[in-house]
Amino acid sequence: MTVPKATSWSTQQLTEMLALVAAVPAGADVVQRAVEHMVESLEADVGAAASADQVLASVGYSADAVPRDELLAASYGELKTLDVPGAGPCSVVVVAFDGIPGGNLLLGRRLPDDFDSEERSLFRGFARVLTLALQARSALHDERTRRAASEADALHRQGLLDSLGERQALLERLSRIQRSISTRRPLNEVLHTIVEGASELIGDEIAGLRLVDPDDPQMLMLASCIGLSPEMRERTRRSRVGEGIGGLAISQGALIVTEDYANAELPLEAFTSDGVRSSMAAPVYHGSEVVGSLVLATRRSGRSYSDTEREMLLAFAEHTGLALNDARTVAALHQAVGDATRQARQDPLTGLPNRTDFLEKLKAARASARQVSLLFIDLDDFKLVNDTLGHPVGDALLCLVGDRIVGSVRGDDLVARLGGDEFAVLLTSTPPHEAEGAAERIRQALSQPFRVPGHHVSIGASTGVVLCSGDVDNSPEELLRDADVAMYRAKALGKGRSIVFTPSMRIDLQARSRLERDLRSAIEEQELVVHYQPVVDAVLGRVVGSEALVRWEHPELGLVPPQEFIPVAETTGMIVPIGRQVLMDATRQTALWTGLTVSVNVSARQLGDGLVVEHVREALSRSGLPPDHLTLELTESVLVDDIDIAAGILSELKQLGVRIAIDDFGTGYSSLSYLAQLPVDVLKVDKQFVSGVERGGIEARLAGAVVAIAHSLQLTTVTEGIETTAQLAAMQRLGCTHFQGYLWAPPVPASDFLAATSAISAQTMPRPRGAGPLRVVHGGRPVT
Amino acid sequence: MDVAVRWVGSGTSQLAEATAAGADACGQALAGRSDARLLIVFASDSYDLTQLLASARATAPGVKVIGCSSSGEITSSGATGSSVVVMALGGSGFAVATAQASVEELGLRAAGTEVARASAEVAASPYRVLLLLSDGLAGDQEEIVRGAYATVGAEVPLVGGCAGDDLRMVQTTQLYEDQVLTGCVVAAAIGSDAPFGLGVDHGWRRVGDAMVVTASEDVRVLSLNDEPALDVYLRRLGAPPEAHTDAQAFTRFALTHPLGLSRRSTEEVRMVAEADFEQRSLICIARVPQGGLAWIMEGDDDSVLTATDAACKAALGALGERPPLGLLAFDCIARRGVLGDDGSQLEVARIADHAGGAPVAGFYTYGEIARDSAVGGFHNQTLVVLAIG
Repeated sequence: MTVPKATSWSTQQLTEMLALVAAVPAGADVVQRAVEHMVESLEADVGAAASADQVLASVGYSADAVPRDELLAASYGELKTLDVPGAGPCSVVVVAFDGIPGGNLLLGRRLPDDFDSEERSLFRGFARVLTLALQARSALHDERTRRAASEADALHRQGLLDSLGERQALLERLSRIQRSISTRRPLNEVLHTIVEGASELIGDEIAGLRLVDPDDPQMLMLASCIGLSPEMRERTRRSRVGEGIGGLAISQGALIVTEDYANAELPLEAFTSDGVRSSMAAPVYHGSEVVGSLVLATRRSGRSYSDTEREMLLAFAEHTGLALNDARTVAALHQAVGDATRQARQDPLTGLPNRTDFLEKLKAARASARQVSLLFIDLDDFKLVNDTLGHPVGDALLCLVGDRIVGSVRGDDLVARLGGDEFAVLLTSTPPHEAEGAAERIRQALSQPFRVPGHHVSIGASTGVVLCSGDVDNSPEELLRDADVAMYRAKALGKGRSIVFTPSMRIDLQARSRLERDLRSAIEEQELVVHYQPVVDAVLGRVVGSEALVRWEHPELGLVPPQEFIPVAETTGMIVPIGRQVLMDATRQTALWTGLTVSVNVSARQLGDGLVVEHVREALSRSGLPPDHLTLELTESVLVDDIDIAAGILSELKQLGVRIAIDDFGTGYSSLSYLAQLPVDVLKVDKQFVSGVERGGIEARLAGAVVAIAHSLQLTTVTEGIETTAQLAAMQRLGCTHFQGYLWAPPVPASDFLAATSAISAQTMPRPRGAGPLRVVHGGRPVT
Repeated sequence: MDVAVRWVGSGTSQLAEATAAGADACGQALAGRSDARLLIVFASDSYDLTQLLASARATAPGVKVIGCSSSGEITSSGATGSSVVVMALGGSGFAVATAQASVEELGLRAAGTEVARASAEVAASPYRVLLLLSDGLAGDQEEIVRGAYATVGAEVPLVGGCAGDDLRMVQTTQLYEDQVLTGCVVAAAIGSDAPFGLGVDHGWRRVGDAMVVTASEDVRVLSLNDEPALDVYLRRLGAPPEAHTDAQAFTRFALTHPLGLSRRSTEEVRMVAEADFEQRSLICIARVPQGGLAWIMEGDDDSVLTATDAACKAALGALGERPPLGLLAFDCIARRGVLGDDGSQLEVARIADHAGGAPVAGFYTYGEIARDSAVGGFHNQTLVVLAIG
């Protein structure tokens, strides 16, 4: 056999899955059929699709003995093996299935046979395909409903026929891709088949495949494209992850669609100036990692993308991922893309050397053992110029910037445009210690206004500097990356400045990207777990609830502190799926501890992504937890960022019946006016007010003030971080009613929670000091 | 140590007259024993099967019966044709429930689901198997297996085959108690105090490059590599001229040239049953999914006989040290096509050797059923062996 299993088998299985879900007649249980197919394809013994509290489809159990609870536990990751009658103990693999709210798909295979990584990838691919198919079916169903309602309206009928026809066309296209992969066509041909197929089938004239540069994971390479002029191809050969629709699809790991490209988030100026109006991009996965994106774009106006078209692009992207799923292919690809890039050495816009040429000259300079310095220059707010003055002005500005940089360095120094608004300078005739001086000269030159046709433009630049003595043996790419890292540090410190690279910057960056990568896989591998810290009630003298806190059990590093990974989760957006998972787990778990309440932290990103209300609603309905047993904790900085939006979302949340707490009150902005505007129930008193409170003095007065504010607004207080009985007594004297802290218990896993609470000794339990000024507590359920 | 008695007997007859042949084969299988629980009957449809069934039932009154028409029979003494073979299971250590369902009335999947319910009636037995005999000419048989699997899960292995009609490919017959049916699936749920063993192997290998199934509908392959499937198939194999135009000649040729589909741990073989000369498509016995890779497969005496040994060893291996009480064999008619008459005698002799004197019964099928250990379910051009421990 000439075709490696990795390439052909997976794509084949996925195509078959697509064909199968497309062929299942309307009304039939497509999920059941799909689960059967997965079980057969992956030679599993059992399979199931489960929502939070229901097994929706299962295969492998006798029809009258489907072990619901066991399957649900396994689909939550609580059971790693299943004991299947007739098959014995089976290893279990679970993937998220967005086709049903909170859904998971599960497969089990009898031990000792386990699922390998390719099979897990394929399983994830199955889940994604099935999700898309379900979405398309629901669109079809809507169409049919509409048609019935409008008495067989001819247009609707045509729409239905079109989408069925499109599906067949999709399968035929995918078969062609399958064929080019299986017959081991040259890789660029395979990629071209994919790109061309997407373009023709979905009907946009521009299509491209971008892949993450393995040597520089922040950058993307254009691996294949159609519909772009040679100049455009050159201009967009490299772009940054997170920029452009294709770059966003990668950084967000999601389908990105814009029907107004110029005003989309971070458009690539080359495309805007090329007249691109609408575009969509789907992430391409290699296993669970996003390695690229498949992008479609059109210059036509009024173009919008239907659900079917979105589904098709995702199907193509899924295929692309599996086609790349063998190392040989990926290696060949990089070679091929590298070759094409090397053919061109000049930046077509400015006429300066391009990145390739720059790197080669850098290499040559290093080989001649000369001491060299590198400057990496990135214009500040260049996007604003493009957005406000248009791309022709932007392009003209880039040419002038190039000229000024050239004019600021010596004749032997090399100036290159790396792409976008990035320039680099190789200083060969300047001693390294003078490199900072050169950077300053360039900064001053660029700070003078530019005259472009019809405008005066002022723009600044941030510069990263690498001083390179002869004994450093870093590769040219590494040196350039170091300069890039320093440039980013300069931007972070406030733009318009230059910073010299130090190795610690790289270590920070590497540590951070490793953390980011690990965190992504931690979400997939369900390494994130929820711990619960008991909250005690001074009036009742017992535990009445808990705060849910996410913990990361890293397989190598052990427990990773939240302050290390939460900021990364926040900036990358991973906090949204994490937050949702914590919400689901915490409500489900707390519903099992009858009568207890739980509070869950909600981040700014969650509040901003618009789904938090839906997630809370889903968590409540799945868990059955009474809404007033759930408290959502928000930090005050989240709320004051945009008080109107926050107030709107909070009031929606309040309508669900949940309670709202302000976390860390008094540590930041501490605006009383927002507290009055927002529907808040609980004020959490931060532990920084607690430490030292027992000694009286300023700490006690501050704590007293916070508690007094809470009381005057009729809010419940929960005091965090109580470690000693003296602190407890002091806070009780101030009128606090609810407490949490190590005095009673640290956050503990769910399985240890009841034991931890029952171990809380009577000595440390706060003694009731009256019912407090504002609260009546009944049966463990706070009533305010 | 078994307390309950269990026995397996078999008999065969080549008498020309149906009543006599039924009584003859049945009498041998019973050998005077009165506590039979199940008769399994495989008979050429050259017989009047109504008469044959009536005579078998009269020989063993009150005993449950299932069976089907065949395209050649497998007996302890060799491969035969135009004959009847009967296997009887008896003794208090066996429990049996039978069922039938019409594919036409219920659909394939629901028919599978329906007959599999019988397995619940023997749930008290420590070991169970569900024997399915179906009409391979009535649509995608995988669906029947899926339907049955949905009822019993991994707990009850599925085994059986599709009835034959001496390779005319027109109509097959299923036997259930006193009913002679077509377009049906009949089943016997067998419970036993001792284990069953299942073995599956085919002995085909890929030839040439992979082809992509660029268009298919269910069991019909419309195009391979974007070319009409029939044209690709005939050209690649250098088929004889008569196979290009004559339906019978095509079927005979295609018997020994199945398609192979890539599966995780093996190739699934698909029998090409017919050609549609107008549409230029191939009609298979089970679904060939669009988008998949397909190979042309070939086999020879050696590979087919090696597979025979492998299937028997796997079935017997599952019994451990325990010798079998009997072997049931479901052998694809296409394998007989490869082996020819002499080779088939050799193959059945090998099965009998593995049985070590225990009775053997079976037939040449239009598709085989074996689902156990996560292995597929519906097979083509394959030998399935059930060892009764």
